[in-house]
Amino acid sequence: MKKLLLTPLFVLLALSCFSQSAMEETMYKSGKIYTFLVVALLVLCAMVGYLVRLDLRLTKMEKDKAAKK
Amino acid sequence: MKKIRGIWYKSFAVILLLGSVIASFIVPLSPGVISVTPAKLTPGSNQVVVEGYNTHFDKGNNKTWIITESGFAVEAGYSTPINDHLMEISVILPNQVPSQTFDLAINNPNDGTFFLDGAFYADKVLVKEMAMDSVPQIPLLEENYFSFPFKNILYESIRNLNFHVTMWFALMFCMTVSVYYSIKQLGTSAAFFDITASESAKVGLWFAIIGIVTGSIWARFTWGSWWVNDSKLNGAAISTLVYLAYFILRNSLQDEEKRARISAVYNIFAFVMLIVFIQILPRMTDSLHPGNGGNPAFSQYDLDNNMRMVFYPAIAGWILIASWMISLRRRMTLLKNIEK
Repeated sequence: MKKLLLTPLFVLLALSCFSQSAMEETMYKSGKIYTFLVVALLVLCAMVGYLVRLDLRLTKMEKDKAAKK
Repeated sequence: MKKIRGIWYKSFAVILLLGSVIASFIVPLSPGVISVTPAKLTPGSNQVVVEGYNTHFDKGNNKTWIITESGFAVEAGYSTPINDHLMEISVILPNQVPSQTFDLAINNPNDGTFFLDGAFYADKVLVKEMAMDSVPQIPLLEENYFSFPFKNILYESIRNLNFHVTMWFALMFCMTVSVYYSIKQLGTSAAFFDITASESAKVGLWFAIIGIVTGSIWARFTWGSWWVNDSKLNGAAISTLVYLAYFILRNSLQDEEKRARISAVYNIFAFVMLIVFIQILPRMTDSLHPGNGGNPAFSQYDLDNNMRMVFYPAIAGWILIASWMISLRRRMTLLKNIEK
């Protein structure tokens, strides 16, 4: 959970760590399409990541239960 | 396939989301004007270069006007395309005009009619009321393809509406489910309701975090700063903290029945705070977010009909995904409790 929580913060950090001018140039290019791209990919990755993590935890619990029996 | 419970709504969610994501990526933006150089006009003939976006100037039949708010218009002497997005126009400005600010209107068969508000400033002119009888009429046409609206400053990032704003709709859904089960819990004190309430608040919190981070990125490249002093941003941050306190409260209580009761009461309080901070206060004060003093998401002025055709399915899709997440988390916690 904690690792997943940190992902969006790392995205922010990574964006703000780029040299200001280079980052702005990229994000403003082609009618700010990259601003959209970062936001869309972040949302999709965050939600898919959340579901995958839930799935993994459930699988592990089911395995533990089977092992106990 | 029947192994997945509630397969119909889950597949519906995936279809809605796939559709809206694909549409958000492939629908083009309407044509628009980015800039004009020079923006200052003087009486007589002026040569101006117009920079458009997603335009088809080179396909010909361009007509250009400068217009004032009162409806006074002057047609450009010539409109010569340089390439698909650059065009040179010649504006003949009369000595007497009704206003010093002019909008630009461009029309061609491919792109329809589009405007740049406040494009020009007229210098050294006599401002005077004018008779409107010989003013040219500007035909209002739509572009001939499905597109998202062109807005200055936003440009392509208007597509973020389908990702950033839908997060907040999903959050409202999660928190409403959470408070509903909290109220039910107070009436019946069944552990099942308590678990559902806390799990949906957890899912809601995840949507809040993603909503804040995506909003921050969007703000940086449109408003110019990662965090602006906007009532909606601060309200969202405060309500996120209020819900974080809900989980701290839950974890600090050992006795299960007491925990369920106290956190249910706190959850009702937290929900009221959420409504106040992200729905009521931003509408009463100035906010950079659209929809001050109205309903931003459903207002007929802020949202274009083509946007809605993608935005509403996206909202429904994310809400269904949120309920899928809630049901997964609930089943997991119930399983954990049985094992204990």
